Amino acid sequence: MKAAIRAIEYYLPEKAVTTEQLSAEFPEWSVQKIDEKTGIQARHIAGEDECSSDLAVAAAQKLFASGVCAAHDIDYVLLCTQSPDYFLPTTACLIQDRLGIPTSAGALDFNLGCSGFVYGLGLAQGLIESGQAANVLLLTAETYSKFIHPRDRSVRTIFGDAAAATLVSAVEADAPLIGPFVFGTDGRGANNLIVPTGGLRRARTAETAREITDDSGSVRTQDHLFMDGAEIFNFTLKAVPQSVCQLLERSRKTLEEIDLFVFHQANRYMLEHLRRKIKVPQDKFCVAMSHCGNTVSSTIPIALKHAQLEGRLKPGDLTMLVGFGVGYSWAAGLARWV
Amino acid sequence: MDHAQFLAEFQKILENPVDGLKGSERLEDIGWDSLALMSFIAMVDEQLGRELSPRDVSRCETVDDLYQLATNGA
Repeated sequence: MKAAIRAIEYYLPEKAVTTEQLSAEFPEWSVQKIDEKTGIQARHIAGEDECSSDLAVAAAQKLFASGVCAAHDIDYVLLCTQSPDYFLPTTACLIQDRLGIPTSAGALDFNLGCSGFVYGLGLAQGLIESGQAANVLLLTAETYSKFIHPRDRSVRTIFGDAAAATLVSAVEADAPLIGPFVFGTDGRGANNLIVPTGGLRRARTAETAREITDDSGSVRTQDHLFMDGAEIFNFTLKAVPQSVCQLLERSRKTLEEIDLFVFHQANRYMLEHLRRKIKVPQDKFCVAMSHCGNTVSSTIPIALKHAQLEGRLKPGDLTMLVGFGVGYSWAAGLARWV
Repeated sequence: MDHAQFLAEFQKILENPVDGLKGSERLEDIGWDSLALMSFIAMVDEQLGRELSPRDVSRCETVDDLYQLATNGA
C-alpha cells in the first residue's frame, strides 16, 4: 500500500479585507504598490469568535460533502496550527468530536507555519505506509489575524486566515506516490517571525502591551506578530533553491520531469523571484493567492486545489511542493497526483 | 556592473524614479522603504549572484553606499 493525496478542500472565513480597504487605511501606500509586491487582492479574516478549529471543521465538512470519504472513514487526524483554540486540550481532539470521527482514530496537533503542509504529508505517509492508518485527515488551519496589530501594515497586507482539509489515503500502487522529502531547520531565525509573548516564556504585561512604531511606520506591541520581511526573504533565497536541488538529486529527477511546482505562497514578488532564480517555466509554476493572501500552512493545498480546478493538474502528474518560513523551518517533497 | 548600470537598475526599484540620479542621494530622501530593501536584495541576488545581509543593507545611507556594498561587499 502507498499513501496518496486523494482530495483537497479549503475554507475561507466570510469577512474579507480588500487591497482598496487597506490602501484607504494606509494612504501612504497605493493599491497599485501593494498589489504589485504582494499579488494579493483580498485576505479573509476570522470572526471574533471564530477559531482555527472552526475553520478546520468547515474545510473538513466540505471534504466529506464532496463524497470522497465520510467522517467514519477517517482513522487519524493531523492538525497543523500555530493558533490553537487552547494551550490544552489538543485542538485535533476537539475536531474529532465535532466532525463525528470515530473514537478509535488517532489525533494530534503539530506546530509549524508555512512549512507545515509538507511536513504533514511526510507524517501522513509514514502513518499509512507503516500500517498505522489508512485514511489520514490532514488539516492546516491558522488565524494569524488574531496575532496582528491593526496598524502593522507589513503583515496586514500579506496574511489571511484559512483552513484546508486534505485526505491522504492508502491506495494500491507499486511505486511511491508521495516523497521523497528533504527537510531543514534553523532555529537561529526564530526571532525574525515571532509572537514574543503569550506563551509561557514571556507573560503578557502592561509593558509588553505598549505600542511601538517601527522605522517604516508600522505599529505593534510585544503581544503581536512580528516579521522581519527582509531577513525572511534572505533566508528564502538560500533555503528554497537549495532544497529544490537536493530534492531533485535525492529523487534522481530533473527539473523538466516535474509537471507542476507549488511553493508556499508567501507573496507574489518573492515567488516570481524564486521562480526565475530556479529557472522554472511560468506554465509549470503555481501562483494562487490573490483571493486569500498568505494563509501560512494552507497555501500549498489551496494552490493545489486551484491547479486542479483550472485543469493544470491531471492524474499521473508529478508535483514538487516546497514549504518554508517561521522557525526557520522548511521542507520539499514530491507528490504524484492520482 | 558599473556605476551607470547600477543606477539604471536601482531606478527600477524606486516607486518614483529620481531625475538625474547621481548616487550621492540620501536613501531617506528618495522613497527608500522596507519593500525597496527587499527589491534591492533581490536585484543584487539576480544580477550579481550575491546574497546581502539585510542588516548590512540597512546600514547604508546613500545610493553609493549600496553600490559599494553590492559590488565590493565593503
